[in-house]
Amino acid sequence: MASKMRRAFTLVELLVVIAIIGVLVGLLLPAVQAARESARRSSCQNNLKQIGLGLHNYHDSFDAFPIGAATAPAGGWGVSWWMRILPYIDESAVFNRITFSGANTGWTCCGSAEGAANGAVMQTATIKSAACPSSPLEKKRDTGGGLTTITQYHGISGATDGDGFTNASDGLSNCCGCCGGQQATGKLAGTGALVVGRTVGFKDMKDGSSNVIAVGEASNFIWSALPTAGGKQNVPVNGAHGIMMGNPNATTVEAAGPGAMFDRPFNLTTVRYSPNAPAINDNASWPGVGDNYGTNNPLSSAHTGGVLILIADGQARFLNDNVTMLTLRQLCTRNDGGTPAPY
Amino acid sequence: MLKRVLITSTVCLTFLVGCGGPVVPIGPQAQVSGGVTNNEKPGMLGIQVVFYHAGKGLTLAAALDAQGKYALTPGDPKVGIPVGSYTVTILPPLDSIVQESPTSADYQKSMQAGKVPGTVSAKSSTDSDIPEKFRDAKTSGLVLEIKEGVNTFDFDLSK
Repeated sequence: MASKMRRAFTLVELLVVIAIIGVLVGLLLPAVQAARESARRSSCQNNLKQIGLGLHNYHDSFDAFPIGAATAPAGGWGVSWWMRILPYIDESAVFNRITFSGANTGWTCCGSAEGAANGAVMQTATIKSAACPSSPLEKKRDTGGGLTTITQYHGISGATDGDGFTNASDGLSNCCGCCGGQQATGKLAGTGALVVGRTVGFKDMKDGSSNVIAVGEASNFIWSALPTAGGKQNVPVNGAHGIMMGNPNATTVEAAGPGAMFDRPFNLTTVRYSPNAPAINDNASWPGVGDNYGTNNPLSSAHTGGVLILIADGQARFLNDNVTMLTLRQLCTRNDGGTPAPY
Repeated sequence: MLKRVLITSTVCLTFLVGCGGPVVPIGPQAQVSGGVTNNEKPGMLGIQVVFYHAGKGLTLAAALDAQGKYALTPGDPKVGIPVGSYTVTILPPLDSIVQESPTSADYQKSMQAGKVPGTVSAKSSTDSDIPEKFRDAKTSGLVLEIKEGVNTFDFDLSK
């Protein structure tokens, strides 16, 4: 009987081996996915580092960071800080094709011949450092004049009052006097590192450049329950206009004074909400949040537990979601005089 | 044979059992509801009651029903409604937000207008029922403490 038995594995033995292999693969897969996300996060951090180097090289040339959101030389919507640092982040080819003189240069749709020409440039141009690889947002979007790059890194123009923090008396304006309605509830500060209508240099950062956030990541959706959005939808941050768009007000927040009504700036944010706070909420109904009116769009990301930020001294680092709002407000303000707690 | 099957299935089942469970909110939780009245301008449907927690940097908003009642629902069930000090503003219905296509004529007109700070009235005709002071956190004077458990807050806009 025993001599007739063939040397072979039984079905159960095979099943056990397969089960063990299955378990091992099951253990390995999440680790591989985590490694992939880790690599994407590093790449995102590298983008911010490049932006930081660009801002610093710009500072070497012009003795200040660029205007966060500028008005056009002949009036109307000018260009954002992104357009100014292009030659310093290895995008000279795009920079050389952009028209900076004329009216509505940053409005890539419908505003003027110069804006339309710039819109045509942006349709084909890709700005590599403008998008976080982890982000679920579209890299390019039709903003009326064809596809335009939508940046996922926004300049920090300051923070709103609250939680024991108060801006200087002339540091906060009302925002977004556009088109009627609730957008007027936005708040625009001029106390950050990249602000409306003026340049800010290291000499203006009384807190020290190591204590000022210059750029933050806003690379995840906001949620909208607007009836016009057709029910609950996720909306790209600042997606209504692209990376070029600045601001039409030929003045600064300080000069306009508190209570003044500004048109909304693009590619900038005034910090009012905690990072990633609203990822699941109907936050498009929050004051100051939206794809077209969002002067207080929160920092957000698809990374776990926080967002990546660029400090004005050039370091790109991770900001935990649990940072206290007081610390965050102090970090977003260049001259509050406070010492932010370790974060 | 039976023994081997038993051992195998036990080993497999051990790995199959996952770590599931219901979502339990973090920290003390609150329920918030109430009503808004305005003797001068009835008809409150859709008006937004907006709670802002400056310390946590988050907002909870609810729209009024036809009876002028609201109830806050947490945006994130894991976070719930955190207790603490909130500033309340009362804002126009979301319908009055203009969400126009960037290529529409009205939108382009408003973009071309080149508004000058200080001279712009951002109010539309549909949202004039709410007194100005309730729209801004600085002037609303509605600073409330949301405590653990059931909270009821009523607001009177005619005051």
